Amino acid sequence: MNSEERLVSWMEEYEKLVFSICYRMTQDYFAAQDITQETFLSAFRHSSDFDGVSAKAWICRIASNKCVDYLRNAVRRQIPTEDEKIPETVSNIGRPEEEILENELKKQLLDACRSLSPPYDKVAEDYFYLEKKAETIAREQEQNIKTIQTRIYRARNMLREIYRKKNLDRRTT
Amino acid sequence: MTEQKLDYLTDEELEKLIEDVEMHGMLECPSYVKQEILEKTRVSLRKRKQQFYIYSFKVWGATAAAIVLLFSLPQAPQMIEPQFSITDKLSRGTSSVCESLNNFTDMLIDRERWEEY
Repeated sequence: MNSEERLVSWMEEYEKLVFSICYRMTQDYFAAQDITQETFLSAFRHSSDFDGVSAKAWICRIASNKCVDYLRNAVRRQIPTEDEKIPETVSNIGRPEEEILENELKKQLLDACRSLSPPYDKVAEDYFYLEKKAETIAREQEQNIKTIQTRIYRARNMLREIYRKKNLDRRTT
Repeated sequence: MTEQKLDYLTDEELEKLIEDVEMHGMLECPSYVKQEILEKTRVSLRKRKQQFYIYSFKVWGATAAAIVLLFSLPQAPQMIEPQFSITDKLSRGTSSVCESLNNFTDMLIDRERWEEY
C-alpha cells in the first residue's frame, strides 16, 4: 500500500471521527474542517513516524493537539478581560446531541452562506452547503473554473470570519 | 464554569473523548474536505518531485560546465607569466554558470508561486 492509498484508507475510516472531535473541541464548523484537513495532511507527511500500533489513537492525538493549538491562538487573539473564560477541555464541551443537531449546523451554514454578498452567496451555498464540485458550479454558472475557485477561496475566508466572530460573541457572553 | 489552562489532552482524556464522540453520534464531514486533502497531497508530491528535478539539473549543469571549462581552457605560453591560476579561472567560470542556473530556477519557482496565487 503506497502512502496515498494509506491516507485514503485512514480518511475513509476516521474522517467522521476526526471532524467530530475537532468540532467538539473548537465549536467552530470551519475551524473543524481546517483542522481535519491539517490532521490528515500531517499524518500523511509523518506516516514514517507512525509506530503501526493504533492509527485511530495516533490520528486523534494529532487532531486534538491541533485543536488545542487553535484554541490557544484564538485566546491569544482576543483582548483579555477580567471576565474572559478559557474554554474547558473535554468533559464540559457541548455535546452535539444536547446542543446542536446536524440539521441545526446545516441551517446555520445555509444562513451564513446567504448572508454573503453576491456573487459569493451563490457559490458558497453551492459548494459548502450543497457540496457541489467546483467544476459543476463553473458549468452551471457558465464561468471559468479559476473564477469559481477564487470565489470559493474568498467565500471560505468570509465564512471563517463569520464563525470566528460568532464563537467570540458566545465566549464573551 | 472553572477557568483552566489550555493543555494538550492526556491519553485518558483523549480516550474518553473518542469514546464519547463515537457513542453520542458523529457529524458528517463535508465531502469537499476529502477532495481538498487529496488535491493538496498530490500538489505536495508534485512540488517535491519538481524541486528534486531542479536540484538535479543544477548539479549536473554545474558539473558539465566545470568539465567543459577544464578542457576548453587554452595552454598558457611559457614566456608569458599567467595573471591568474587555472583554478581561479575555473572557479570564476563555474560561479558564473551557477549564478545563471540559480537565476533560471528562481524564475521557474517564482512563476509557479504566481500561478498558485
